[in-house]
Amino acid sequence: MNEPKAGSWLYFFLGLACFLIPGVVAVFIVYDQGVSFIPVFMFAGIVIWGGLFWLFPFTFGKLGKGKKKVSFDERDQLIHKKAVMVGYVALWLYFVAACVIAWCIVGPNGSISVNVMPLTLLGGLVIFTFVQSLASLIQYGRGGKGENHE
Amino acid sequence: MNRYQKLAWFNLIVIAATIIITSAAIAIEIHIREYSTTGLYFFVATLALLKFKPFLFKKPQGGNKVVCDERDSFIIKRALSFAYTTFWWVFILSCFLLFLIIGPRNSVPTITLPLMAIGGALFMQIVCSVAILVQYGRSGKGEKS
Repeated sequence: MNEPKAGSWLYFFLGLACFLIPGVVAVFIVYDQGVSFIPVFMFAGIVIWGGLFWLFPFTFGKLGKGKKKVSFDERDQLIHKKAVMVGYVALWLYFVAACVIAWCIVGPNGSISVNVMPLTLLGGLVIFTFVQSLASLIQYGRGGKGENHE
Repeated sequence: MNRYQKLAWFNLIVIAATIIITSAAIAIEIHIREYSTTGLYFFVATLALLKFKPFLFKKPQGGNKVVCDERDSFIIKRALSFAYTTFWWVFILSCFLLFLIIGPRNSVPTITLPLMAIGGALFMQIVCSVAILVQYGRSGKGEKS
């Protein structure tokens, strides 16, 4: 298993857990006690964490291995680009679906709480990470077809 | 100027015309009646011109004709990637700004959400078209297809 593939698995499990667990806890706090500093802080933390999460595979790669080893070739780059594009398309579809579904459920004359917006953003982060990781894993395939860079 | 450049220019012109015509219609109607209902119709009618792209800019027919080469497809992919990336930041900013400006205990009309989706689509189209035009550059470097 090469480094980008390991990164995809890391994204897939650790990323989802890191977004979902604090996100669900924050939603429960908002639902139970109303909006306060703690859930807003948690949402901000999740967004910052999501924004910086892509650094982790590179950081681990730099710390763990020598600099002379090849860890990211053209094929990995192509797979990464395609996976990011698939993630973006899924994010876009999710955004449109979220807007239209909320409009249909509440009705054209209704109103929705502003707290829905950070929740939508959280959902977008989860979906983007999930789809990107899944697309990477699907493109690498199941078996190790020469993915060892050793 | 090749087909993709023409499409990009067409997108930009139609979107600019939509914004100008809709704003003018809303402003005039509000000035006359103090409320506006026809702005949406102007918006949809002008934006519907984008659907005529396949008829206005047809792909070259025939086996010998080249639709696009590797450079064109690379430019399109980069433009799309750039458009999606900028949309992601706009999405984050719009969600947080709405939350911060209006306040956590308030609510917004549901029509805001479809408007955000339409605004996002227009924004992506504008960024993608501009990115295509910028990548091709100003002068014609063999862009005829």
